[in-house]
Amino acid sequence: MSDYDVIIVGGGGVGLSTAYHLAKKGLRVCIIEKNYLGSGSSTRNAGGFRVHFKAEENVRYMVAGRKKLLSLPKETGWNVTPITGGYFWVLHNEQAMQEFRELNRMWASQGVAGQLLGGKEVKERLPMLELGATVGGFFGPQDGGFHHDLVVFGYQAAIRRLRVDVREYSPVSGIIVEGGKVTGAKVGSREIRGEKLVICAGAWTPTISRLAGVDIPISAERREMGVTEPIKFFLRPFVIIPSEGVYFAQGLRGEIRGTVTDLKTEGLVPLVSTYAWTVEYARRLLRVFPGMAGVRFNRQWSGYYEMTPDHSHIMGRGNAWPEGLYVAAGFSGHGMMMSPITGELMAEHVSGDTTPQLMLPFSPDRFAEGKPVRELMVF
Amino acid sequence: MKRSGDSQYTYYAYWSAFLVPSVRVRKVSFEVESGTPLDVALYKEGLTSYRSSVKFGRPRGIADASVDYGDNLCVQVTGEGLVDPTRYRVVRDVEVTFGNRATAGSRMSGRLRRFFGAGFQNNLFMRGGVGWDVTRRVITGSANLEKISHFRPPELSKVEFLKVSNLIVGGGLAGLGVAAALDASGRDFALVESSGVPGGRVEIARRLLNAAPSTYATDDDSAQVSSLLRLVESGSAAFRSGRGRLIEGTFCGFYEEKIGVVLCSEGAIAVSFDNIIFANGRRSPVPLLRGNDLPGVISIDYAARLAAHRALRGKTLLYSEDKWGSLVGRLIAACGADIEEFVQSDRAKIASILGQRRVEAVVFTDGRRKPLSNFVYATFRQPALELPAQAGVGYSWVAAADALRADVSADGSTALPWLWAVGSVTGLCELEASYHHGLAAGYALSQDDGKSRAELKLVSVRGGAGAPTARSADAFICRCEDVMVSDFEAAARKGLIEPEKIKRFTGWGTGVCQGKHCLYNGLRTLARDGASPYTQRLPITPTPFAALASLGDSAK
Ligand SMILES: Cc1cc2nc3c(=O)[nH]c(=O)nc-3n(C[C@H](O)[C@H](O)[C@H](O)COP(=O)(O)OP(=O)(O)OC[C@H]3O[C@@H](n4cnc5c(N)ncnc54)[C@H](O)[C@@H]3O)c2cc1C
Repeated sequence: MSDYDVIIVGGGGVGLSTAYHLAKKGLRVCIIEKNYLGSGSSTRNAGGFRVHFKAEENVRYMVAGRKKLLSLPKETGWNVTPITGGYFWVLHNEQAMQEFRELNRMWASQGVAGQLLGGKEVKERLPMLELGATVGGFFGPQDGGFHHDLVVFGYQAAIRRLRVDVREYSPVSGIIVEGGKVTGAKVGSREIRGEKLVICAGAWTPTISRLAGVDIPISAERREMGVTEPIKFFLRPFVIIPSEGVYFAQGLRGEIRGTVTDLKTEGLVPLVSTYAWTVEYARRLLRVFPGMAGVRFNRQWSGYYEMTPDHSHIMGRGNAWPEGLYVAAGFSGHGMMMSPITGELMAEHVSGDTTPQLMLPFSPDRFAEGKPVRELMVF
Repeated sequence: MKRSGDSQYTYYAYWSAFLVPSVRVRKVSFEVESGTPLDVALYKEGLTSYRSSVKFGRPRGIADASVDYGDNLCVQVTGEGLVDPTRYRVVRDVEVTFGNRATAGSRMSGRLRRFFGAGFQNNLFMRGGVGWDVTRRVITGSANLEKISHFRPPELSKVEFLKVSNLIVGGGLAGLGVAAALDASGRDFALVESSGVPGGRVEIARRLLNAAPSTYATDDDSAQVSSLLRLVESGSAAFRSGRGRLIEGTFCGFYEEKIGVVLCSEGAIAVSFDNIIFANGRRSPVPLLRGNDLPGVISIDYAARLAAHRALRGKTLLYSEDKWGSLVGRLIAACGADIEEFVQSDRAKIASILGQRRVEAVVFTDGRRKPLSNFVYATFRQPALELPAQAGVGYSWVAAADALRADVSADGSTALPWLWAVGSVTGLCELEASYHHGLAAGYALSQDDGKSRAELKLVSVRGGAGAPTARSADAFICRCEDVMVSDFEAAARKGLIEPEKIKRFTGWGTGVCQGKHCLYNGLRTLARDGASPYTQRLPITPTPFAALASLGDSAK
């Protein structure tokens, strides 16, 4: 007899949300986390949300995901403090403009058209920036920011209420497979028995799936970012300047958070900060935003992006996998915003063995079948 | 001294126009003597330079000279003078503009205090999806600053990329010991000292002795300081050979590449090193009494700085738990300040500190009141652990000793061969013993084990921090982010008991002091055996982007 209906490995946003939705259906759930809840990427990200992706599958996913994220306070009782200030892409060449023009047609078809702006308008809307020869920009009013800690805390409180068994500081070291079926997980010498097991271990996912003999194509990339001291609130949108490779936004405390988009270290390397990133970020930020020169940089950290070959997440189960084994991971740097909807879909999938329409394109077998999602808008 | 009247200040962005009503700012101009630290100059003028609490709009005083509150002091400096960004030392005469930046929003949140609770994440408005707009108004309305519109880049004339074998952080007795041993063994080093003059605590005492008419300090006190000064002198001789150099600046921590960043008056310097030795000493944590965030609640080290400039005015109570603190208190009195020492006993205990805009009185548990202008604390000194902790030196709470202990060997070495911590920052020793501890580490780093062992024999290990002071539920643990003792209790009720979670829930340690004041007090409040600090984030002292951008490329 199993102790649990479902075991979840990994206590980030995705694992927590999955645990919450399964427990709400009345299932007996255990969540196993090697450190403390949220210690992975889920408390180390930029807290941005957007519906504007390049792949239509992701757009559809996040149109639903956005609704779910913004209504999260009603479910967990914790306000995720959204700022619905939009995403603002500042574009420096005609080719990029053209690309956004085409994408906007697809976005319009999904009901999330944004605004294409001329160079003059961009400068008027972002008067504090030094933008040089901008040709224009794109503003996505449906996008914005939120606080990741409040998502994690909210789910943590909610699963406590639903009596989910939470095991922190418990690294999973084995998956028990008997007769082609998953029957539990090992933490050191302890065995925890469950009917089904969902891997939600972000960048660590392949190291865990391999314990069940399954390869999942996710690779870790260390990314860095940081925030300033609080300054007066003046910047509503999340600003992205692709030609400079820099993005930044202002949070509710007044802090400016941001990073450069092209400095990274591959692998599960130590989560520390580098001198190279620090100097580069300061230089690039000041090039576009000289007014920040006297503002003090206050805190910096790093976290893993969990990259897949098509920069889109992997959810569900593979046909050849042991029975009862599932995954929801590999969000390629945009998984925090997707975690509420992902948990809901996974709960339906795992408890009922139906596959909701929205998650179909993200199946683990899509690579072998030659049907990748092709998301290119990752930064 | 000329004072101009009230003037209306209009904030920058369109956005704020409807969020925050315009704010009245009082402008005060006066001349200051060349070389006087700005905060001291203000204090002398009877102007407490303060900033407002981010959430409650309460005024906050200068808490400690070792903390860079930077632009968060409600002070703007204009004119030709070059101002030291780390310590506001006025190098030439400047005009000082003084303004109250507490916004309408923050005042309102101050009044709504009882609805909000401390810590913005756990207040009523943040929950249940209601009213987040209201909350935003309050928080952002109180987040200060017109910095963006008033931007003037700090003047950066000196940008360096240094390479040394040994980098010593802190120029007190322990750091000087390391320097002396390295120099004697022919090794190269750089020592970072924020005051620019080696000696640490002893140097502070020396300045007071110099400022006091000689007959006022007792022979015993003078003798104690003099014997320590001899150690400072022999340690300082290490800079004469030219193998070592002294860097005046604030160490902000180091990065994966083993490059440290030092914030100096001229900008920032990057220092790449092979070995790093932390000798950054201890400081007195603010007592957890109600009212402990008021302007006028100052540490003994800061009081000494004011007294040496004869700027400590008015009735002053010295709350003392520490012998060194009492000694410095007597030297302050010898400089002519009106200071009276108070030692907590069973008969007389302080219940709270009272005041509206600054300290006005203390109240004792028996109901007696004592009117005051300054409340100076010399609590048991505790390791300034934020720097070693960032570097990876482990610290944990030892309940039996009521103290934090560093995870270092007797000679200050750690599991990483290039990382050391010596002297009182380890919690193992202090004063003379720290000097020998430093020497032992310096010789060990120079592979001179015989001499290292000999010095280690002179180190008397002194454990224990003493009994903790009172703890009131509405005392502030973290004065940057407005976290009270009661917020830790609220966190515990929500099941959040680990430092990492409490940090994220309350904001503890994430403000501009980067834990310098609150890390110890928070861990002490938790008082869980084995509790260790949250991960310390860089930079340990907030650094202007201009300074970071001017640093050299990492390719060596
Ligand atoms: C710098 C940066 C910026 C980002 N910006 C954004 C953004 O703006 N918007 C957005 O939506 N997303 C953003 N992301 C991405 C987002 O953070 C992640 O996609 C998301 O947090 C993934 O959640 P998760 O639950 O899948 O993984 P994680 O939060 O990483 O959780 C995985 C958990 O598994 C645990 N685990 C690992 N091994 C084991 C084991 N053996 N046993 C038990 N547990 C184990 C880990 O400790 C971890 O807690 C950003 C990421 C970074 C690094």
